Amino acid sequence: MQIANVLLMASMVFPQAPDTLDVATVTDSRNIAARSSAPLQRVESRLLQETGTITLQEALRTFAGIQVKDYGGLGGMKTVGIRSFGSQHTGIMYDGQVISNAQNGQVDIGRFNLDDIKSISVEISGSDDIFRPARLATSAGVLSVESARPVFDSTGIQASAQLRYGSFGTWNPYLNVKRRLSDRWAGTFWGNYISSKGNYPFILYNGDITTREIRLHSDVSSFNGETSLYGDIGQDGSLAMRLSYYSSERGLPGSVVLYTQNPHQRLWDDDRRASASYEAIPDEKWKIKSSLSYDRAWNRFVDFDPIHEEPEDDRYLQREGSLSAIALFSPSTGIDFSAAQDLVFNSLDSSIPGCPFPERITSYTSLSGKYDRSRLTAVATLCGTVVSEWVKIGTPALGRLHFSPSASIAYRLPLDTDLRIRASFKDSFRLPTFNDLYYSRIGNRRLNPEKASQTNAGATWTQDFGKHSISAAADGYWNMVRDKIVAVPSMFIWSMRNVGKVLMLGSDLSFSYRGGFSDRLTIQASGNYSYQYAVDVTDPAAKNYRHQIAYTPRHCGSGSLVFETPWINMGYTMQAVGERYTLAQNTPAYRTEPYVDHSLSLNHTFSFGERHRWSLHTSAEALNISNVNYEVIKYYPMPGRQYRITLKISY
Amino acid sequence: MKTINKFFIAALAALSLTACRQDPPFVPETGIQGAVVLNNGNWGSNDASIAIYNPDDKTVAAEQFFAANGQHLGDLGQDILVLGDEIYIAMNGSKVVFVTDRDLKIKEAIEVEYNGAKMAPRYLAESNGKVYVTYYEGFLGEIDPSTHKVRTTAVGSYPEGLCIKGGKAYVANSGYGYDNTVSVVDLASFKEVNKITVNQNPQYVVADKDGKTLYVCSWDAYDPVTYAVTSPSKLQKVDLASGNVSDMDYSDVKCIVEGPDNKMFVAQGGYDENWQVCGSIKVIDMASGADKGLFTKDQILNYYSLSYSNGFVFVGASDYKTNGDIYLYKADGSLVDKFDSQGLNPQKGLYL
Repeated sequence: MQIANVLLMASMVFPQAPDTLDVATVTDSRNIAARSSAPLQRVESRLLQETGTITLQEALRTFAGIQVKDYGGLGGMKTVGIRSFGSQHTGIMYDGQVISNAQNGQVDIGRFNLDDIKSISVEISGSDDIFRPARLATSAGVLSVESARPVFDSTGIQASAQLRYGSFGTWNPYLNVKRRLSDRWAGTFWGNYISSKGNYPFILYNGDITTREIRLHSDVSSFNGETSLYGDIGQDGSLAMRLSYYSSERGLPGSVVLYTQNPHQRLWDDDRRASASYEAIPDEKWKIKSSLSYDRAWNRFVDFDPIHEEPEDDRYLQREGSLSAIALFSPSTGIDFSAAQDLVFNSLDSSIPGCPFPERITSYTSLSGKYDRSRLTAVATLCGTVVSEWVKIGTPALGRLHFSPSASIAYRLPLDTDLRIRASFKDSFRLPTFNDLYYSRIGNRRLNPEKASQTNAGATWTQDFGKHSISAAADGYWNMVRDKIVAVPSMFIWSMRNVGKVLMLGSDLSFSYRGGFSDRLTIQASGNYSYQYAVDVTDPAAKNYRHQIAYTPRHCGSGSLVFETPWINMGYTMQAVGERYTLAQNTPAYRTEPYVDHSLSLNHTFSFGERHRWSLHTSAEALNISNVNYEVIKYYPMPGRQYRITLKISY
Repeated sequence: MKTINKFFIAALAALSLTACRQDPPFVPETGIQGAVVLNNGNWGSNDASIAIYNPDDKTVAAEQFFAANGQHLGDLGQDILVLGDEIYIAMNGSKVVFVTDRDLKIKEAIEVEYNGAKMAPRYLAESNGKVYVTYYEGFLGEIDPSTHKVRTTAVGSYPEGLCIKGGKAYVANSGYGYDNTVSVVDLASFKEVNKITVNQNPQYVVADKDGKTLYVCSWDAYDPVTYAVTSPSKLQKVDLASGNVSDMDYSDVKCIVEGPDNKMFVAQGGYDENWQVCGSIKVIDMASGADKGLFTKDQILNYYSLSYSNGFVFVGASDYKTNGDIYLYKADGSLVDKFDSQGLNPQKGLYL
């Protein structure tokens, strides 16, 4: 990890040939994944480009043990869960900053733009990276998106303009400008606009009646923009400052209700974020990082249901301020200690009658140690979390203190090949959200955090055979969720309670291959398979005792294949998901069919001009090519076959 | 407790029989005799269904509407009623009233529009050969069974339960928790002629056979800011001649339904030590308002619904995440059976 950081910092402002870096990071990242003492998966931007992947939900299909809940269409909410844990157990990090939602715990990953990123990675049940914000230690797993830092040649400027058109009236212009401002400073800007009618056709099966329908009220338009300033301060210090803006308006089509279709809800978002981070290496034994961020997320929900005399019109405003400091001490090679402290402030204002205007301050303190020499890697972390809350009306939830320990170990076997065995353990939790605690009548201020425990054991193998290389990982796990926060019905109203208990036994297998067959053909292939036995063990007398929890396939897998040639790159990805049940009780009426989604991409980048400074990237994709009519969430149909083309000109 | 154990064994037996049931298609029953259960389902999930309990072999057949028609019932089955050789099913989410024959085969799908959008039916009642239906949009509808045509008249906001006595329809206007009236609709002119002010959030109304006394069940109403119960649930008695409204001594009233012999059943809900809902059912003489005691000594865990049909009382229980249970009683309070309702949230029973 340290190597990667140093590489990153070195490459930031100073000229470097992009290709060299690319190869270096690809190799580096694969090694990191194989060496990791807890499951780590990573994909680099180059592979995303070659497989024609433009959204995070598409990218995550090829990750083992990851489930994206997708309500369909570009505007439909997409959340990511790790190994049958609810999405609220997934920590989401963008460029080292945690993105969260204190109101409902759900981060919509559909809004991430992948046009200028470096990599996407997912860590499950632990991490070898101990130089990062303390609060990540409280998540069962972490999804991390890292943006590409600017790399300049002698001109000191880079720019690209892109236009993408897709099925169902989707237009997506994108602009990116990066400029070196001085020896030490560089600035970047990108803006991404998406407009989509989202009126995709689907087939509605109602027993013997099959009708061709159009998804109604699924339009979306959004603008996402970011401007960053990067600077080198002192000899080994770097500063990054960023302003981000996201704004959108979308129709909420709701579930497809049989015999009547009249969706009438809309959602507006306006999210502004400012952040700054500073990283320095004061001497060879110390490394420090500190960051500050402020996020203001506003949204408006309107229900135009004709049943209401006046439309329901609700506003929500969330604020999050966060301060994070990390120090890493390396007394000798391969031995690191870190201490991290996060302070996070959250608040929620809403126009909903009865909103008590909750505010929360959470302090996360983590201490970690890492040993990484020759064959053995061992990491241990303990994180303490203290939560305090205030409300303007009524009484707040009680303060809480919670500890999350984790430990992992990996050992490289004394063989000729790079075969490692690993084991990890992690206790984590999710805090009750503001909705869980305070939402109108159902909120319950006495809720405890929902606890997750994970035990993982597995092996990784990597082998280079000259031009060919193989890597594989196999892991088995035993997880428990206790005090699951669920809505429990009572006489007149529902209330949130800590009553659920879920047992998960599963396995993730993954494999990847890369081979150069000649100067003109490189093939990359990867595949993964996941088995999840995730059952409700709350109450032996209940009808759903030991039934698979809702929306969790027992079997799923994915694969991808990329052919790189000088003339064209071809990428193919597929995802297969087994039967699921949409209800806690697994009865035939609630079974949903398995599905397979295949996608194909053809792309090529032309270079021209003096010293090949100009490039034109062209890409065409066909998604869900077999036009399978499937649903991730029952009665939220996914689009069938769709196409998109991209033209991107870069300097 | 012994009786409960017996029910549990019966339920197990019912479950084990149904466990052998394979995937759809389900086999339709014809010449239905027995208990018909309408399962409400989950909002937005199109999972309302009808199960049929056969009292002879004590089996429950699932998805009988689907089996008879090859199409699903739709979203939120709110009410079901039999009139002559027709069955009426009010689908609140799917905004349709299905009319079927006694084998559940669809004869008509009745959809009524208001302001260019379909209206959402709630509860059904029958009188003088006509079927009456409340619509959430603030209307009472009258369905003519010979044509299946509907005429509507305006009542209060978010009308729920209704009853018909003496040429008048009484409709509980819940206002989604904020209204406190019962509309009186004269059926001859089909116009609202009066509004009776009652406790906030009225849900169900029942009138005695002479049309002298109206009973109104209202649910808790909450302060939108503090969530405190501002107006607790009540059972009220309305003297229809004088218009006097008086509170009766019942708390946590969940539902009232008309029973035989000018009696009504009252479901009350409390909590057990595990904060689970425990329902109890009482009998009230509607002429005098006198309490006739408990209908059954059974405590209904996860009480969900109460209905009466043709000499049988149906008590539905639900945990909202697994198939519900029906406790089927004779009108004298003797338990016939407890069975799995083969669907989520058993809302209403009919005995054919």
